[in-house]
Amino acid sequence: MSKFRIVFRQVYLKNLKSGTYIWMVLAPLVFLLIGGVITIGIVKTQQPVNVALVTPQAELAPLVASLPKKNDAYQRATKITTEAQAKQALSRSKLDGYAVLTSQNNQMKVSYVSRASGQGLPFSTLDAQFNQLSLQYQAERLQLSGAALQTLLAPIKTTQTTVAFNDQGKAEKRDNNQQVVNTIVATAVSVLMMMFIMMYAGMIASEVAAEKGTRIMEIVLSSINVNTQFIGKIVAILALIMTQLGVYVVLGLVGKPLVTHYLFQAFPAVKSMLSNFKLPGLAAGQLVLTGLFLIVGIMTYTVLAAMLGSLVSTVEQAQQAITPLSMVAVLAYILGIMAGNGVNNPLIKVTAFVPLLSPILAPARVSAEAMSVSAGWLSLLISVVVLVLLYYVSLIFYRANVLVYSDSNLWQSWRASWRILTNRQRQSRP
Amino acid sequence: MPVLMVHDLVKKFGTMTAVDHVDFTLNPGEILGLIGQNGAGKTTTFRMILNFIEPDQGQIRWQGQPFTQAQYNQLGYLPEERGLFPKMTVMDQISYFAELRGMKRATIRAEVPRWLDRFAVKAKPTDKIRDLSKGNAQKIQLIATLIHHPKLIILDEPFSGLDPVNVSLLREGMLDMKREGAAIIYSDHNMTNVEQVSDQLVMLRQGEMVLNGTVDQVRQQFGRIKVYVETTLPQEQLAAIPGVVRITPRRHDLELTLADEAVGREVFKLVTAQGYLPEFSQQPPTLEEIFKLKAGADHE
Ligand SMILES: Nc1ncnc2c1ncn2[C@@H]1O[C@H](COP(=O)(O)OP(=O)(O)OP(=O)(O)O)[C@@H](O)[C@H]1O
Ligand SMILES: [Mg+2]
Repeated sequence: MSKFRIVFRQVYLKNLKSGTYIWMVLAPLVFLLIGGVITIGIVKTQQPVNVALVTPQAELAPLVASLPKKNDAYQRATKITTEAQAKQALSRSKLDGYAVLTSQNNQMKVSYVSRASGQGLPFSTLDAQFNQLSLQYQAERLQLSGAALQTLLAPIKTTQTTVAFNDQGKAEKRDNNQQVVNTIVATAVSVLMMMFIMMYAGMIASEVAAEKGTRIMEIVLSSINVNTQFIGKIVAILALIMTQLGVYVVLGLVGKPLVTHYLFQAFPAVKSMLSNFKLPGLAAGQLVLTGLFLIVGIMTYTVLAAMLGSLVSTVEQAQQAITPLSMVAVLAYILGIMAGNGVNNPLIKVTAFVPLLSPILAPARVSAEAMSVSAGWLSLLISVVVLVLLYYVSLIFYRANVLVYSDSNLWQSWRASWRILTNRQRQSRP
Repeated sequence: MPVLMVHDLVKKFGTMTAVDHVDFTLNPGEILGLIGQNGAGKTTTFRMILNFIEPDQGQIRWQGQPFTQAQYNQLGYLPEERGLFPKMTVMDQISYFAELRGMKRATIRAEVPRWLDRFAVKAKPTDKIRDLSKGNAQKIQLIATLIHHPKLIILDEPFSGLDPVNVSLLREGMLDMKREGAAIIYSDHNMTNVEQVSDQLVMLRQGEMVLNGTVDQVRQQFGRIKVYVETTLPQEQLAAIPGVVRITPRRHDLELTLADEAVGREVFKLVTAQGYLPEFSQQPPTLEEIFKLKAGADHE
């Protein structure tokens, strides 16, 4: 087995089995599950309000019967036609309430009775329906023409439009809820990106620092070339990311039919709720872009974290070593949240193309539909180029640092490694 | 052909010279002790041999060639500060290091129990490293250094931290590897182990070589300047002999340090003047004495 593969396998398997990694892979699923359970819980507890609509006057009975049997607000117990029956059903908790329609001197009157322990009656819906009924009744009594009646009964028309602009600058219709969804998706993308980036950066930094601190580095570097070791580690981290994404893809493919078949069937309300929104971040192209940004972003932070981890001499110092990196990630995260909330100033527009910031910002902005997918691809390309450059810079510093131990602070270690580096270059010149 | 040739090696850290014109040659089946006090430059020398740091001057040749990646698998290295992954099992840890030296997994698995036995390690292959005693952990690391039968073995202070029983186990181990034809270079703070295991010794003092050669050569270099004598004569009379540098009373006898081997004859004449005496012995200094002599000597 090649030495690259030995290092790769060691780093990959060690982290694969670690609690941190398993938690990181499961965390988004746990959040999703909790979110799902809460949603179902809400839907499930929202049982229809049971009402009975009755009238003691025979001439009103057809009118009452013409009211809808079931709608978003309530469900009617149609078998109950008298107040006495309604009262009895109410006392046995079969009903949440009932309405009695009467007419005196051609004036319609409704009285509601509801159970204190029951669900509240949808008064506004019921009122509107009875008003409509009353209008119809009066119109018939006054013998208004059909057309007049139509005019009289027509409710005021209202429309609501919210627009978002697509790649071609064309306005697309959105409803208000869509904006909320965009914000949620962009925030989720930012949070997850930030979480993954920090976890992987911490993982590689402590990996390097631990090997250095336990002096295992010396044995390893007397066995293999330092370049081989570095690339073995980096590729192992890449494989861990791919494994994580792979888990999500598989779960997604398995989960989708489960959700559509069982969940939607059992809870049609969830389906209708979801179908109201277009999940922008979940469109295939954007999903791929976000995935690639995740990989490139984590890799960029990983190579830098490996370099920073090589500066310190113990595991305990590893987190401290990557502090500057954490600060950049937090900045990107904050900007990402802002972008998700629709902040669209020039600063955020530019930072979506800056490497280290773009892996969080660009997907967040694309999810919030503030940035076009093609601009996202451009930003990704810039990130990839910078990643390649940073890989070589990190390797050079890593090589200089891994065998230098010092108790001095980070800044001094950094300067020492710089000295070694410049020294070496001077020597290698003839 | 020598396994390792170090020629005129110099390494400076800033203005301080850590290794100062060091020369030695190591043949297959030879053990070289690199002796020196703290900061003498032993570890720095090893690090240059291992290509971790570049010398400012001089050459290092492995079997006549500069260091290449091909040599990694023929090398065994025990660093000065020991380290293992605490969470790994004994088997996994040895396996990882041995695989990095090009050994096959199956071979490693088959051989580990034998090695644990040989070094009397009180641990099972499935035990975690963190549950081992310091000495046992050290022996695990030693096994990881030797299991692939390297041609060149570099041990940085291998005896430190071992109890006398383990010290002799390690000596045996080193002699076994020597018999297999391995060349071994190890460092130590004193000469205690040198006599039993070393063919050659190099002593460094502030980076400079103050001694170099086989154990006999080094001792003979000083001549028989020690006299052990059991006499009733007063010490003052012995001290009056020109060339007697120092007299140290011991339990039963006196230890005389001479400026020159020839002074021994004068001492003999004086102490035998009255006839019988139970002990008179003229010897070269022990390595320990040479060490103290050289370590304490003024920088020339
Ligand atoms: N990376 C370094 N930078 C600066 N000085 C160094 C470095 N490494 C070693 N030295 C110095 O070089 C000298 C020789 O150190 P070295 O570690 O080789 O000694 P040693 O013989 O191994 O000592 P010990 O018995 O304590 O292990 C010491 O004075 C040490 O402080
Ligand atoms: Mg040392």
